[in-house]
Amino acid sequence: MASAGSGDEKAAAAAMITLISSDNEKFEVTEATATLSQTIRHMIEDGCTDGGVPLPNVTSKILARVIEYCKKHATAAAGEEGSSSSFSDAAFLEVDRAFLEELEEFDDAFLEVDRATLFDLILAANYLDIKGLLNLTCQKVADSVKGKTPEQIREMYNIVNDLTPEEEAEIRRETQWAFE
Amino acid sequence: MPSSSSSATRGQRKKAQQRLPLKAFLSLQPPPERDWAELPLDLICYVFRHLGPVELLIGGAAGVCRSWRRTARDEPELWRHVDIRGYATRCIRSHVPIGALVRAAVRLGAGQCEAFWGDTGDDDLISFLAEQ
Repeated sequence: MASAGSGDEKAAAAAMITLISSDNEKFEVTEATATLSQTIRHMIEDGCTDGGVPLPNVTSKILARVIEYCKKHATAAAGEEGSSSSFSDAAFLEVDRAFLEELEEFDDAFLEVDRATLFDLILAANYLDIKGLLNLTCQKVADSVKGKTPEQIREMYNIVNDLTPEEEAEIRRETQWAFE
Repeated sequence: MPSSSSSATRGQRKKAQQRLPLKAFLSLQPPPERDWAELPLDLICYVFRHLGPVELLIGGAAGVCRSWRRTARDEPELWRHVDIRGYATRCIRSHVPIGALVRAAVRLGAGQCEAFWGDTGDDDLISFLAEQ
């Protein structure tokens, strides 16, 4: 028993990946966590992760957040795979629901960030190709602009109005739907 | 005089005790702003896909700046699936005729519109969609 346990530990230790942020901070993560990123998954498949994976586009501050997200969602994915055999269908559904609720709560709390961090998270999710994180962050932006005027959105996201007079005229015409 | 000076000293001591290390304030500084107009076009497109066609047509996003405007009007891919379910009230409130809205969505799709979902509309609209 004990030897089997230590064997598992060895296997787990072997599957650690080192991620290196743009400011040279190193993060040790499990392969399961790292492979939520398709970019890193491909690097692992190509066998080019020895000595760590440099991520020159991601700062340590953002990488720490991204890893936090991946850890949580990797655990969720593992839980989904593992639980089906050990529970009856009803119990499985119950666990599943509790799991999803917890994950939703995590995502909501995860999105409680300032706009600059949200921007950086979108870029990182895109660069690392983490679909779930990209969807989550882009949905957050979409929800925040729903029902807002252009001026409100500009203010919220610190955007300068650089529209040409022609485009401004076109927008004014568009807002006159009722007269079409 | 002495009493007032002693109370001032006491006040200062109180302040000194509340002093926090400078590090504690670093996190309170507003983060440097990002230029959201500079978000790569494919990512603006990704955000807009989550926004949906009705919001893209009658909401504010398409009038924010040049890059957002162009994405909202020159990306046929955004109009591949047009779903206006649940927007009837919003359209009426904004004085937007549903027929004009759907025609605009299909036009922006530039032939790429594949699917349409609606819970409102008239015979004209249905025959228009049938023609497409």
